[in-house]
Amino acid sequence: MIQILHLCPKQLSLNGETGNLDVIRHRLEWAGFDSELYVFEGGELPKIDFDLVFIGSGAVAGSLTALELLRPIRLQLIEIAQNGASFFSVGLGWEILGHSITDLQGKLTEGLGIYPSQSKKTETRASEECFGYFEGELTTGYANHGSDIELLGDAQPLILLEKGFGNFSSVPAPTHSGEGVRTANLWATRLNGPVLAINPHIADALLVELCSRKALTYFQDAAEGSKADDYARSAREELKARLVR
Amino acid sequence: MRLLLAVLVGRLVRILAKMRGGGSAIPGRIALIIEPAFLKKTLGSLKHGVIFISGSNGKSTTTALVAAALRSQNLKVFSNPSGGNMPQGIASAVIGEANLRGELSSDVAVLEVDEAYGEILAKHFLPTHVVLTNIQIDQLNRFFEPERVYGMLLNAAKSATASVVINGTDANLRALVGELPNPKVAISVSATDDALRYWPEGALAAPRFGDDSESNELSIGAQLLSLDGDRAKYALHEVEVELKLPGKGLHFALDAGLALTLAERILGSDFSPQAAAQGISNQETVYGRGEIAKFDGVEIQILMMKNPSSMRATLLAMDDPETSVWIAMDEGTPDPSWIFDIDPSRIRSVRVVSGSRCWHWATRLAYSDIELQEVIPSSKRALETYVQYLKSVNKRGTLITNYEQMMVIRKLMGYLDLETGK
Repeated sequence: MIQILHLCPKQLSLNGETGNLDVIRHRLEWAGFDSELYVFEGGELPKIDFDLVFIGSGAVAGSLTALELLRPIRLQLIEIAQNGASFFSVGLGWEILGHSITDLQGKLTEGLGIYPSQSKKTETRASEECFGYFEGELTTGYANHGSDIELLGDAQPLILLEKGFGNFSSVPAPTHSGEGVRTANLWATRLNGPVLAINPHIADALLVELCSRKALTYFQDAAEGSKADDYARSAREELKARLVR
Repeated sequence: MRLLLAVLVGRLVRILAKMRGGGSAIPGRIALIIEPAFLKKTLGSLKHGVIFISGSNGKSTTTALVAAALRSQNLKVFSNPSGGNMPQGIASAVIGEANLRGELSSDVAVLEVDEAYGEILAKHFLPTHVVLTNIQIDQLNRFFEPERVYGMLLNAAKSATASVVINGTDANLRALVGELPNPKVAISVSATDDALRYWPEGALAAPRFGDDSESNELSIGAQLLSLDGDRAKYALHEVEVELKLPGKGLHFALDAGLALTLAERILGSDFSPQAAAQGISNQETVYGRGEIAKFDGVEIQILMMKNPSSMRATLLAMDDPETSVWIAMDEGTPDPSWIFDIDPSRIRSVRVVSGSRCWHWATRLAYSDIELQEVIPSSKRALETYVQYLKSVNKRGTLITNYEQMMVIRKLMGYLDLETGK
């Protein structure tokens, strides 16, 4: 049984991010694994050995509300991360799980300190489609954000963009081509919404790592998966063709 | 002189645009270049002033219902067509109705106004009343987050010289009224628990975070007492009013409540609730909100999807969920992420998905239990395929589409007047 923890969906699921969980659970099911979802909306976190922690994106006010709901369980979340559970975070959910957020007035708010990153809100806003590569595979999405995120230490981006805005809302690729972050088990992206549906190769890479930590072998060869992935590939190719036109 | 020239050139461009079968905003854009004060000069002196109707969803329907309610009271109403809700679209509509001197023979203007343009229009001329339908998750690629829409609508509401009428079931709008400077008459449309019974998701408002003062007292407007299909009953102060909505759904009932409330506010003691109810009941569906298009011997109901809220409302109110539907979307929806936020299970099967976002929709459906027959990027070929299917099963079809694909497909079906939907 794969145990999944979804953090603060009421505050952070503005734009299709919950689709990522649908994708993960469907792909696990297609690969023959059961999964169980626990939704955290505040209060205490039960003592469950979570395998995956997910948090979506949303409005700034929603993210700050979520941050305060999560502060009381900060140490538990850090312990879950240190125990090797996979984290997959999107947009502002990632920002509040980072070290700090500095707003436009220069006020710094401490994040939960789980991700090796810190963000600074920007006057400029990125809102457009983008494409790049994850482990050599075409990866596409929609960026809609207004902050520059700096990766700390030796953390590497999840995706390398060829076109569009990644971790810097003020400077696009190729000057700043890094998008998201990836450490051993902490993954995050700013690509909106159902990034894992349109980019199932990222979902599968995440699930391979997640399962290997449990000494399980994840392999996706179900007919349903193959059909979904063909559609998603066409969606990515259509987007790239339009952006390079 | 400039006004005369603006009307003349605008009319000429309008004729040319119609011959091409599109471009409804171009005449207005040109008129505004010739005479930047075009809107103030043409709309600024109507007897009952100008009403702005804005919000995330329901603007077109509410505009149509308010116009119907006011016409039922024997007022001459000027209004802009569905979708023409930015300054250039409104100016185009004025060109269509004003005389050569730019004069309108109307008592009142009821204007559908884009969320971002209320505060901009208010710099040209102040609205008498501002009606706000809701703040929902909408066009995030453009507005980024609902809080920005809140700020835009607040500024538009502040410009109202007489009153602000809101859908009081929307937490954001209640908070917004709390920020209006006094004195400002704010009127709220509400709904009883009984009326909300069949709509457990409510009116699908965007979530509200943070502290709200709600300091301003709201006057009570129409209260929705019950809702059964497309029949709605309201209490309007001491009077009970029953009417037929243009379609099924709580959103339509709230829109009609706003229309009743505003008409009463404008007419005062001369207001006839029964005449207003009759006027609203006779109002046909706004185009793209359930109209039936006829093409090649088949009928296709057209339902527009703008955002998750309108899509959910569309799904809940679908006439025949058994019909295999056609879904069309292109990059006029720049970020289709939200399609993963709606539960499409009310659609039993999808015959075809089309438009450049067809692959996004196909992927979405692949993660549901809904059967998908064909993916056809070309709108023309999708129309042919769908019509052939409808003929084979002898059924009316349902097209769920974004605005841009709706325009493309309507044109393919021979509906050339894109302004009025005729």
